[in-house]
Amino acid sequence: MSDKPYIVTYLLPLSILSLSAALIYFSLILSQVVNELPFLLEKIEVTSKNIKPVVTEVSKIRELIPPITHEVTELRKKIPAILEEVKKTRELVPSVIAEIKNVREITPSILKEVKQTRESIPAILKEVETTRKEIPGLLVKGENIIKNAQQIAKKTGEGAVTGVFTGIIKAPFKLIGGIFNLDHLAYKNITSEDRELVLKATDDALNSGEINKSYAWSNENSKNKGTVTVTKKEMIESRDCRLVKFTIKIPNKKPIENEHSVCLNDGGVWEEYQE
Amino acid sequence: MPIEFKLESDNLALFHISGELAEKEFYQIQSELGPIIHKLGYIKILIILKDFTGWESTEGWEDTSFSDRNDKLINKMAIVGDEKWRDLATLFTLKGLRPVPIEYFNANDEAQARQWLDNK
Repeated sequence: MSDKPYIVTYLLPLSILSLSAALIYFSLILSQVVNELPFLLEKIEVTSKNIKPVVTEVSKIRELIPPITHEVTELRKKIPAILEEVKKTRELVPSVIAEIKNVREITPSILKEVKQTRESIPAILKEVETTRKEIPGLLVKGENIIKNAQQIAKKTGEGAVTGVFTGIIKAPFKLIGGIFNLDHLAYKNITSEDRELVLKATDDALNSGEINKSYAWSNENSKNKGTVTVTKKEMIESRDCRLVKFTIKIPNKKPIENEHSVCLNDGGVWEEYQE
Repeated sequence: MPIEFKLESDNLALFHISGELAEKEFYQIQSELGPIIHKLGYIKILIILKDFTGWESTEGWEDTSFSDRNDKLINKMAIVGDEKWRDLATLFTLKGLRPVPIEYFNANDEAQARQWLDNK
């Protein structure tokens, strides 16, 4: 019995002490909350400002949902047709593959043909070159024989030969000599392909009989281009001559412009006049 | 008849020309030959000059459009005749100026001419 008041005596202050500690802790926490309150209020304010556009955006997105749903529905309707098309395409695939196979089988023979053709090109070019070389001689021979035929007798029909030659050679076409000189320094940048094009344009210009009409040429490979123009008819040493103006444009270079006189030789071939 | 035409086997067109060749006749035979050539697809021509005295002396003979239209279908042309017509016939047929191989053979060399035509 004597122990009971002793325990109570100690328990009461202890309880009061605990309560005081709790009150101190609460005050401390409350003080921290009070300290952070302005910051929290500021955060809340900022967040509430941001919420408004988000709500607006959500509203807009919500408006977009019906057309998207409609679009999806429409697409869904098209799916059977697309599947049908895919099915048809799939059915065609074997025949396409067969066709490709056929083409593949033919390809070696085509390549062989191309190879053979390529191999025969040098011989053909040589033949062309030989023929070109022979033509002036033939023309000279032709003129001589025509002259002889005229002298032999009219009854042999020299008219027929001269007629045919008049039709073919003398009018309106005259050949330009393969030796037409384009080896001037000014032309050193033009390719052999360009030279062929220049000769062709010159041929056309000379045989057209027209003065001051320009004949253009252009080479996609070399990117060079130009014109050929007969600018004047003239007689030089009793020969029928033409003054021909050449313009050549080479990329990134100054255009070349030159004039040369060309005259018909005894064989009826245009050649450059050499003083 | 100065020009006689006969189509032999293997697309060989054989012409016998005698006397004086008239311009009108020449162009007439050309106009008949053109459709035949196009029907056959290609042709070889053998011209035999026998007792040939030359060409009619008239102005003209300048129409060479037959060559333009048909040369690509003419494989070869052989002319058989007297040596004295070699140059004029060669010139008249424009040997060397057309894409058609043309050869002139002596009057006795018809077999040789036929062989040349047969050679590919």
